[in-house]
Amino acid sequence: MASKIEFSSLVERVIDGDRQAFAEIYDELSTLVFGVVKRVLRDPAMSEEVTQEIFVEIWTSIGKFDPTRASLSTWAVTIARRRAVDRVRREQSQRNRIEALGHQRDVDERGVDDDVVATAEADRVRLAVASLPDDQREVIELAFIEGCAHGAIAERLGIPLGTVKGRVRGGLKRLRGQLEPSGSADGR
Amino acid sequence: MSDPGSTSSSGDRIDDLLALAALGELTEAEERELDAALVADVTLQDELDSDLDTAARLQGVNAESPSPGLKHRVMEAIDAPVAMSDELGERRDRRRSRWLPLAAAAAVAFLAVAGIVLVRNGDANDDDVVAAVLEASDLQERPFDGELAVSLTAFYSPAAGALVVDGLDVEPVDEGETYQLWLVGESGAESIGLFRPDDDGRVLVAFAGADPGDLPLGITVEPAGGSEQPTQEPLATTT
Repeated sequence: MASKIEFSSLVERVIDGDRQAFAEIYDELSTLVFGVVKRVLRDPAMSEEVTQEIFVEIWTSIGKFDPTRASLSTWAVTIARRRAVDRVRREQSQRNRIEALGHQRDVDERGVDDDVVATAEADRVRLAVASLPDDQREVIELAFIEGCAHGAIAERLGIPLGTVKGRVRGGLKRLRGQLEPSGSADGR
Repeated sequence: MSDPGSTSSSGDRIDDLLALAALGELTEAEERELDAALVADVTLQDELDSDLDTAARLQGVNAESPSPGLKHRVMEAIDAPVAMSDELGERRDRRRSRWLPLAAAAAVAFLAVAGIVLVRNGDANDDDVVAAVLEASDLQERPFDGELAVSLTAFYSPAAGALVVDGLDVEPVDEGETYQLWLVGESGAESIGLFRPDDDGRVLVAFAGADPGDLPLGITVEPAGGSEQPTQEPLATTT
């Protein structure tokens, strides 16, 4: 992972239209972005298509990135999640599917741990999630590890949408206190 | 996916909006609502930023590599005309104009060498061969080491029966010179073909019929038209 200074320099170069710098940012972020998208969409081909759209958005919107507010990876993941959810909504709308986000898990037999990059950061995150109260842990895992939308989580757990959102907020707040600041954070 | 029934106060509503933002599920109307709340209460921005950072770290455990061909498609996609802010577009135009005099010397070759068809950048047939290689299920990737370019990779697909060299910001060669790609065997070097970067330092060339097997590849600068054997030390090699 590039250091803060290297990322800052790369971002400036990308703003200037430097394709080489953009290629380096792609190398740094592509596994992260693709992983987020694929966890939501499941379908590898569609996930690559959306990942491509996300990187084009990064290329065209890099001027909006504010390093004082977020790291580059946080910014990219936020875009990735939103784009993936948008794609699911569009697909569902087009196909008039009743199936909610995340229910494709029935045809995706891979476990949560498959394809996970075994890193110290991943271990830290999992440890922190494991320490959450059960009700929050369940919702946080479904939302952010398995890539389910909050409607699917409510349906799966049989709880109201508002309760899901409350547990997401509560879980994130609690995790914030348990996760150290991301040391290799890029950009801030 | 708003859930108005679950909110009993503006505080609850803000919590709902922050949760939806972390989930990436804000509708446009909710996004405007959150923007207004952020303006009204500046402390909310820190809350939102912290939530997004935590959510990003959680989702980072799912990191997974896309296919090697995606990078090529992304780089091609950003070359296509895309909408961007006027400010960003103007800044990039200024940078590009600074490089034009340097790049003017770089022309694109279109050659056939020793029965191997070498297709220049941008040629329709080239796109077909490049796509066949990069989308192949048996794709092999061999990055080059060396200072010729920061990013320079050979892709080979036995099924497609072709080799692709994909490079970014490759140094231009002088007029009268060309890059030559070699297959380095025990009995010496065998020419695979010639290539030159385009005006932007981009190389994307396909060598139909080339089969590197397990042997390393090397790139030298040679006189235009190429050489029978390398005349200079390689600027980049694969292992």
